[in-house]
Formats: sequence, C-alpha cells, structure tokens
Amino acid sequence: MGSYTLGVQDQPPLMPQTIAYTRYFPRRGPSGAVVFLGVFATMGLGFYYVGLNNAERRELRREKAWTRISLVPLLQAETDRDVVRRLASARAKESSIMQEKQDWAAVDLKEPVKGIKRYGVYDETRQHATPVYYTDRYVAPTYLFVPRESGELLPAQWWRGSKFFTLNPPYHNRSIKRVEEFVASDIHERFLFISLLSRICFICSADWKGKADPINEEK
Amino acid sequence: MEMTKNEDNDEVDYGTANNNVGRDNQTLNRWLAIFVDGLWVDKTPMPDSIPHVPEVGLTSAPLESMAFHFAQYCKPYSEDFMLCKNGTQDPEKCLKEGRRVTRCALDLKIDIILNRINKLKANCDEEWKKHWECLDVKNHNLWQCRNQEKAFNDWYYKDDTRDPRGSDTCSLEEEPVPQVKI
Repeated sequence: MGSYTLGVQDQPPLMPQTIAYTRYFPRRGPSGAVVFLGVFATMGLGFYYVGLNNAERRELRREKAWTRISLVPLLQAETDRDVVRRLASARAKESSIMQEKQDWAAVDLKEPVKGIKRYGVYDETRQHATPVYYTDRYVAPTYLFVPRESGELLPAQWWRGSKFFTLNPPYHNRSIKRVEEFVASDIHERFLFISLLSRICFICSADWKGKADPINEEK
Repeated sequence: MEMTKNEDNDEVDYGTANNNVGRDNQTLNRWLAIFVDGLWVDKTPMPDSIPHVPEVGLTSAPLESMAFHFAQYCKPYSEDFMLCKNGTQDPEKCLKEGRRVTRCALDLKIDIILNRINKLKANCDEEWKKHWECLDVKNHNLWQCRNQEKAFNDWYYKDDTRDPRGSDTCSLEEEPVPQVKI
C-alpha cells in the first residue's frame, strides 16, 4: 500500500464563508408622509370633481324647476276653468235637488253678506244664499256631495300594480265563481281549497262582490 | 280645433291633457281630482256666461320642450296671471287672465306646428317633435336630449334677433320679480 488518490466524494455544498443571518429590510419607496399626501391628493382631486358635478347637477335641477315654473300659469288657468265649471255644476245640482224647499238657496261660499265678521247679519229667511264664512276672502269648499248612484263617482283604484290577482280578469272570474260555488258545498273540502287560493279569498269579501272592476273593465 | 279651421290643417294629434273642459265633453278625464272615496267625473259643460277658449291640448313632453319658449313668448300674460293669483285664491277672479295665457300658448303652439316662426317650409315641426319624442323616451330628462334641443333651438331662433343663447340674460334681468303696474 502506497499513496492514494481521492476519488469523487460526497461533499457538502459550496457555501459562502459567511452566512447572513442578521435582519435586513431596505428602506426604499415612498415614506409614510408621502403615502398620506398621495392619498389625500387623490381624494382631494376626487372631491373636486364631485363638487363640480354637484354644481352641474344643481344647475340641471334648476333648469327642471324653471321648466315647471314656466308652465304653472298655463296649467293653473286650465285647472281654474275646470274648478269653476265643476263647482257651478255642483251648485246647480244642489239647487235642483232642493228646489221644492222654498227658502233654500245653494250655498255660495263667497256670497256677500250684510256686514262681515262680528258685524255679520244672519239672514233667517234665507232670501239670498247664506255663506258659511263671513269674510271677504275666498274660501275653497272642503266637502262635496256626490250621490253614489249618480254615475259620476268612479271607485277608487288604489292598486296600480300587477293586475294578475285583481278582481276579475277572465281567468279569475272563473275561479271566483268556483269559490262561490265551493262555499256552498261541503265544509271539509273548503280548507284545502282556501289554502290554495288564499289570495283570492279577500277579493271575494262583501266589499267587492258584484261590483264592477274599474281597472280591467275600463272602456 | 276651431282656431285652425281656416288654415292648413296639417296639425298632428299630440294627445290631450284636459279635453273635457269647456264645450268638448267627449273625452273622459279620470285623474283630475283625488278623492278618497273614488274619482269624481263631471261632464257638465261650462256655464254660458264664461267665454269659451280652446284648450292647448298638449301632453307633458311637448309642454316641457316648449316651456322655455313659452315663458319668453308669453311673459307679460303669465306675469299678469300670477300677479292676479297672488291677490286672490278665487278661481273665478282670474279667469280672464287665464284665458289670455291659454290663447298665447295656443298661438305659440300653432306657430311652431305651422312653421310661422321662420319661413322655411322644408322642416315644419319635425325638430320639435324629435325633441319631445326623445324626452318621452328618456324619462323627461332635459340633459339627455341636448342634441335634439340644440336642433330645435337652432330652428326656432333662425334669422331671429331674440336668441338668448350666448348672452348673459339671467344676471342682467331688468325685472327679476314682476311688479304690479298701476
């Protein structure tokens, strides 16, 4: 046995002489103050645009308001004529209804009376229409009598939504009749039917029975 | 309508707002009065003592597009009516001024429709119609129909000196609040 040569051996990997184990955080990029400044600058710019747009929207609302203000005299004149016509016709109806009564005159809220306020004189004989208010100022009537069967009164249409479950479109006409027949039948089947058609039951109450449906039957 | 009987009757039917007022009691106006118990329909004609005036008969979109021009065109009559209204709430006291306002608006409407404003017979009331049809589509937002509004205003103010665009009319208004003229 003499000298020997080293063959390939399993060596540890090559590593630097010094291994960095200390903490190292390079302070780079913008500082905190700069970040805050950037945020506030962006927000400021954004709010500036918001303010500009709000001013623009305000002007658009002003334009809309002035459009409507400009039209007020026209529409008010139309409504005035209509109100005068309707009140005149109501007064005429009142006179015609009460024509048999000798000393009745249709109430005219503005009819001048002898003296006003505390010096007002009440006309017992009712030669002229006696106003309700003893004042020169115009007072609009609060109440209006319209006979229910006169045909001038349309029932109120509160429901302006889906007409699918309203009173009597053709489909529900049929089902309402079925419910009416059903109510006359045996009791033990009613509960199942009522649970299925719970929506229609309230329509079949006395309020709506037999009355015309103004929504679906408008001419 | 009676006013256009003697003229070229190429008036388009724009629909009616309150057509049962006055002598024309054919159509039904259901939304006038809000009563709790129901709607009050009254077809009685106007008393004969009150002079008859034909109604304007415009729906909301044509009225809105015409509003500024109406304010400019009918300024004295509108102011008169509003001053009268300020004095009293009685509708019967201001009927005369109201009739004048309605006649002025009717005049303006006929002017626009029959193109009496400028003498170009080519486009009659197309510009106006386009504007209010656009308004109908766009929820009556004036800011969404600026192109048509510009075309309408260009047509309305063509060859005319009373064009207020580009001039400072708001802050230089002579009489911002109308005063009673004795």
